[in-house]
Amino acid sequence: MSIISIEFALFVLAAMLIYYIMPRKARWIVLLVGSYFFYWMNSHWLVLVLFFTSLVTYLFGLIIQRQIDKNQEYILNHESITRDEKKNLKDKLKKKNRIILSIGILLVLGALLFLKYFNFFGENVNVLFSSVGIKWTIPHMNLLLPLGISFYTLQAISYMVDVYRGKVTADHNPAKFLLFMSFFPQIIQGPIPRYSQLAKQLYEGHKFNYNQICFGAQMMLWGLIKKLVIAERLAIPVNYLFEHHTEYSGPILFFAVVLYGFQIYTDFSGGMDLVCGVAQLFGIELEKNFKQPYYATSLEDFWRRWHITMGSWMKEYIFYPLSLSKAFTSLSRKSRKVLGQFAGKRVPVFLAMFIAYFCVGFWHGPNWKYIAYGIWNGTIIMTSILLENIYAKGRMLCRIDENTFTWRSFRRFRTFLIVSFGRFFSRAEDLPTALSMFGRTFKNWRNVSFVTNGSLLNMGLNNANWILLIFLIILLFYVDYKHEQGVSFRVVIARQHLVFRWAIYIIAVLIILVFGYYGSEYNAASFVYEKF
Amino acid sequence: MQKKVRIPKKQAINLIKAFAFCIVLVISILYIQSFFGVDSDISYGNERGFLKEKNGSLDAVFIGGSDVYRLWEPLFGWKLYGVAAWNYAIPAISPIAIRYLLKEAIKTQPNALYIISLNVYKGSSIKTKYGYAHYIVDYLPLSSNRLELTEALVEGNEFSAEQAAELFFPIMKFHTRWDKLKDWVFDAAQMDYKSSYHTKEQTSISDVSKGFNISLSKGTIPNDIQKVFDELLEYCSKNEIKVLFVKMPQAISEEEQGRMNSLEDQIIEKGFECLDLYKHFDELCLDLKNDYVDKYHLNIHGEIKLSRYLGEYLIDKYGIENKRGMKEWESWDKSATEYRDYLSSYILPFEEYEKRNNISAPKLNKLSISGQTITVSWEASDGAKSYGVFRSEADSQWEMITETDQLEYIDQELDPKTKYIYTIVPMTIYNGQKSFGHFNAKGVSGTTGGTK
Repeated sequence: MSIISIEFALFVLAAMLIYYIMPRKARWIVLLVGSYFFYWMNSHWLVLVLFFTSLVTYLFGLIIQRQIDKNQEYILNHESITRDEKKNLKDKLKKKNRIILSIGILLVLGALLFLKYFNFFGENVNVLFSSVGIKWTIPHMNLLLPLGISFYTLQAISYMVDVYRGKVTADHNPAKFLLFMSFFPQIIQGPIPRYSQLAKQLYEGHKFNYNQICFGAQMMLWGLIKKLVIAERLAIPVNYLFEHHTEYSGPILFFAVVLYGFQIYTDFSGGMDLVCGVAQLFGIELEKNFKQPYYATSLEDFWRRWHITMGSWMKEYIFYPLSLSKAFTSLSRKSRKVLGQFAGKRVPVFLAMFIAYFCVGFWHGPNWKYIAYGIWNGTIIMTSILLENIYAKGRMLCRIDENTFTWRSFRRFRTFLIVSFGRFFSRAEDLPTALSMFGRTFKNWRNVSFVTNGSLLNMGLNNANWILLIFLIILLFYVDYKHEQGVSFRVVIARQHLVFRWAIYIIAVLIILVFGYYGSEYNAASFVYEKF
Repeated sequence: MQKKVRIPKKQAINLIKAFAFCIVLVISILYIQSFFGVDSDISYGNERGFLKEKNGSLDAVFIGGSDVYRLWEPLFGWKLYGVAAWNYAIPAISPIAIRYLLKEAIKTQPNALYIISLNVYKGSSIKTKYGYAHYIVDYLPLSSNRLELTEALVEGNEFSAEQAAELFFPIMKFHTRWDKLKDWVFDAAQMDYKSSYHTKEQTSISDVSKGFNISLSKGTIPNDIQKVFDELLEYCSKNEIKVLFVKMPQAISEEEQGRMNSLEDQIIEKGFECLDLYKHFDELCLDLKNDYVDKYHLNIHGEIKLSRYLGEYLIDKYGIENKRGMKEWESWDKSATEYRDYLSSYILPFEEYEKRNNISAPKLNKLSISGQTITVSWEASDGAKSYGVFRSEADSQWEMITETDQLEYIDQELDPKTKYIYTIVPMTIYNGQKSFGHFNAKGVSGTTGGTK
């Protein structure tokens, strides 16, 4: 049941009807049953993997919480306890909980690593073995990947860590916790929720709010336009160019990767709008996952605007724990002694950053190209941090005012270029292809005639479709521009006269109906990020 | 103390607004949907064009499949006899659909004679391919009849849920054609030609003489076909519809003819009329070697002959008035002239108007070319008293250049380096009137020598 299918629309309608009919205290049950039904329809028996992960997470959260509660109870009941004794108890608790947490993480992460990465490891180990003359090989296994496992595994880990850190209290209701782990709009492709942000909203039944439902529906409309009208249309020339990449170089390859950038943005953010819109129908606000990423002025800024929940997850559960750990603190001290203050201070940060971006790449898929993708982003960011002072001096020398429109535009364009080049790694078939395409992009720039000589019409789209695409991409960037200025289009439209508002909504529906890539005349439109 | 008053009125207003919005949205979708359907200018032209005809203005309406619109040409019927008869005919039509099309047509043309092709029922099952169902449904006006027809097609063919949804809402399948709207929505020549078929296919020739036979045997009607046929007859009877069933002369199997023969008996038993063109085949003067495109369809030469025969039949039997030149039917005169112009390079000058006979087409020999002189020769045809020599240049009109009783003609002083096409038409005198036999429309061609 794809979230852009009629079946899903009927499912949501039915779920909404039942949700608002039920007494408020029981509404979370509707969401739980609906979520598991939805997951079953998509993954059948693989729902057991989700159930197992949820159960393990729940139990380990409880175990950790129990240790914390026991410790607090002991301290409360023993008023005579000294400060040092308290500290010892806390240290013991921390050590114990760290072991419990590690086991919990290992179990849930183990499922993901096994199902998603086993064959990748196997292939690489086999290559290594054969290069050293070992004949034994790890067999390839036909493993089914449960839908959304990459997302809900991170969700589970964040919950256990948050309980460990005392940020949240462990959930004592297993059924409610199952709902937190399986809430259907976000399970397939995020956003990756935090327990503190989502759980309460899920469990408390929400009152019927007409305006909220309208807003949710409007968000879904915009998401469908982005996904079905823009992303799916862009996929045609992108797929063509990447399949026939050996025939091209220079500007055409760059054009391909730029188009892909628009495609992945509209595909992913369109999916997010749909997901958030559906959640809003039930009165639930999910976290934003995109914030006008192509208006970023640096790659670091870009990663604060693109797949925000994953970026913040990596920051909070990989980067900070590593960079603030004892081992890294010790490394920092040693590095400063050896490399000096400037470099030494940065070594542990860069190492943590490298690991974090390595994980970002690796999370995307079991392929070296994704790892390269992560490393590319991490390397650029680290380089820009290293050269920060030089850039600042350069700006001073050239008397560049950072706050001008032209400088901001230049930075945005530069960031766009860097991001686009990085996309070779995520889109190409494999790493060698990505590197080859990357290299060939710098050749033959004298010849840009493909724009006017009719080549564009050989990529699967005719004139009318290209014109429509250009118009919609301009519209998309205009909407993002307004959002960047803090203007919400939904709010602006909501303030207009009824006739105008209705005209906008009806036109939006008709745009999807007429220009959308759906139905039996096209292949079923699936989301790029769904495969994670 | 005053109680805080809740405002359920606001909820009610919101609900009304939501309901009203949904209505407006549905109407907008249905309106936009009317532009989207299967890629078939025949379906579009025949169904949408039908609605453009003034209510009650048509003398007859033909209902069927390509066994209708590739046999009867309305504009020939008009040009020859002033009969306004529309082809409410759809490619690969299912027997299920006939009754519903009839019901649809009657809404605007209640007094017309309804001519139903019996050939639709010759098959072994009512089942049709999913794609063909769109030909029938997509361009019908939105009505309960259309919904019932769609439901009947879905049920009768066991289409899947997705297929059914697309039949009810064709925009889901055909919205992909949005960039071609201009070409076929606003420029549907099938409508301008009053449902007359117009395509290069009309000039193709296929010899169906080996597969053609006239059978008098009776066949067994499959249950599902019998059911829909009974429903059709019951509907016609109950609503006192003026109906004429026609068996079109296709080169079909004995089994298929047997079924049609059995159905003909049922028609007569129920008091309806049936015109069996197999029985009148000789009068049609159809040439099995030159007048068919394939075993089911006639080419333009066959269409003219059949339209001429049927037109005459309608005038004689039903006393239809010749309306050519009348103000209310101006559009038919205009369309007929345009259609004739469209076909002018294919049709020989005598075809529409002169008497026809069944003398076989003379076998044409290869042209003998010497400079700017071409010698045309041919073999004799039994029964021919003389031969008309017709000539055309590529895409130009045929012209009779001479009449001769010889088997050869020398065409001199032709233009140099020019391609000429010749055909020979055998002629005889019948009841004091010259009549023309069969001919090979492809002719034989050659290019003169010399320098330009």
